[in-house]
This record gives sequence, structure tokens and C-alpha cells, in this order.
Amino acid sequence: MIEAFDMVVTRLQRHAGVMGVMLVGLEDGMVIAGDAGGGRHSDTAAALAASLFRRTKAAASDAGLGETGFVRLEAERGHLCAAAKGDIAIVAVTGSAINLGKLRLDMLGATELL
Amino acid sequence: MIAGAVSAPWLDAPLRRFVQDSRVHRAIVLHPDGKVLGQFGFASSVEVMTACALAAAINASGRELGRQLGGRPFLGLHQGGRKQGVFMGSCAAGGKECLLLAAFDRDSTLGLVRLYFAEFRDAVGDLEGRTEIDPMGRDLDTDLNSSLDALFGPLN
Repeated sequence: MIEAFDMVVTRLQRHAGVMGVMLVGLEDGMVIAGDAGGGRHSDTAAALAASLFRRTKAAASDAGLGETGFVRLEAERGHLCAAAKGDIAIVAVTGSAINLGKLRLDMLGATELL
Repeated sequence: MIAGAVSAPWLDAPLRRFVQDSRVHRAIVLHPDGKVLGQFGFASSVEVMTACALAAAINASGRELGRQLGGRPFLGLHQGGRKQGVFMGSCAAGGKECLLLAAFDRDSTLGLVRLYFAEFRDAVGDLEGRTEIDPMGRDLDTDLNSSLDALFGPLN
């Protein structure tokens, strides 16, 4: 199982512009594999990303939009993307110059490997 | 807003912020001997008394277990349940050790609680010299009762 997690992280980290990839437990907000990259505090990023995903999922559900598969937060110098399956979220920290469409497809594909 | 009270004024802002940010539904700060310093979310002094006694005992057990297993005491504890979890962490305030015990449900996560506990620890750690603690060496019962009186008023 851990090898599969590491493989998902390694594959997504190969994307140009991706600075860090983590697998995060949605229930506890803890890092399962990978890191936020570039000296970022992975525990902090994981806790906040899991919280963001859970709250967005709840908001989408309350609004009658159904299940949430992918969340993207756009910031001044990059993006935080998250895709989840079950209790595990794949979280990617990226720069601004990135092919978001391809990353989204790859992240959604990777959730099937979890 | 969760109701709470503190017997140590310096604790009010950091504890209030921790509760708001981490979305825990109950939090209590105490000395390792069981003396309560502040609480949020508890409804009665009996609940606080029970939580303090249990937290002090858990802390003592965890420390000893840590010493026996790895030579160092454990500094934190988490117990996760299906619907709610409990976190306990140790921090220093004015050179004295304090424990924070927090209970949270699915509104929060262990990661968030740990994150905001680190901020709480930094905040109270920066209060060096402003964390006046009763210098009288009173016994546990007296300490606990005076703390509970300060939080909930004297028992009739």
C-alpha cells in the first residue's frame, strides 16, 4: 500500500510546475506520503488542505451540487489542487505557470490508484 | 461561540483563539498536577474537575510510558474515535509546564488541532514573565477548588 502511495506521489511530482505532492488523510488532516516541497511546512499545508477540501465538499453537497472530485485554490504565486477518493486526498502545490488541465486529469486518474 | 472562562488572564486570548481556529468543541488548560487554568465548552465544575483529574492521570501515565519505552516522556497524545477525538499537548508558560486537552468532532481534524496547538504553544511561550501563577504551595484539592471557584463561582 505504501509503495502505491509513493508511486502516485512520484508520478505527479514529475509535472512541470508542481512543487510538492502529498497524500493526506481527510479525516485527520495528516500527511500519509510525500511533502509540500520547497521547505514548506507539510503538516500545516496538509491540515489546511484537508480542511479546505472537507468544507468545500460540504458546501457543494449543501448546494445540491453532488460529490466533490476536485478542488483548486488559486493564489498569487500558484495553486493548491486537491482530488480525493474516500478518506484520502491527493494535494498538489504548484506554481502559476502550469498546465492545470493535465494536472487535474492526472490527479483524478491517480485517485483511482488509491 | 463556545462559552468559557479562565482563572489566568494571560490565557484568555490564546485559548479563545485556539478554540475558534481549531473548531474544537471543548478545551481545557491545566497544570500537570490537575490545577485548572482555563476552559471552554464545559458546562459545569464537575465536568472540569473530572477532565482535569483524568488529563493529569493520562499525562503522568504517558510520560512514564514514554520514559520506559524510549527514555523520553511523550509530549502529546491523540485518541481518535468514530465521531470525536481527543488531543492533549504539553507547552510551557512562564517557565512552567501546562497541558492543553481538547475534544473535537468532525468539524475539525487532528491535523488542524495540532496546527493551532502549535500556535497556542508559541503564544503562551511568548508570555514569559506575564504568567503569574499563585506562588503559595497549596495542595491539589485547594488549588483545584479555588480554580473551579474562579471559573464557575463557589459551590453552594
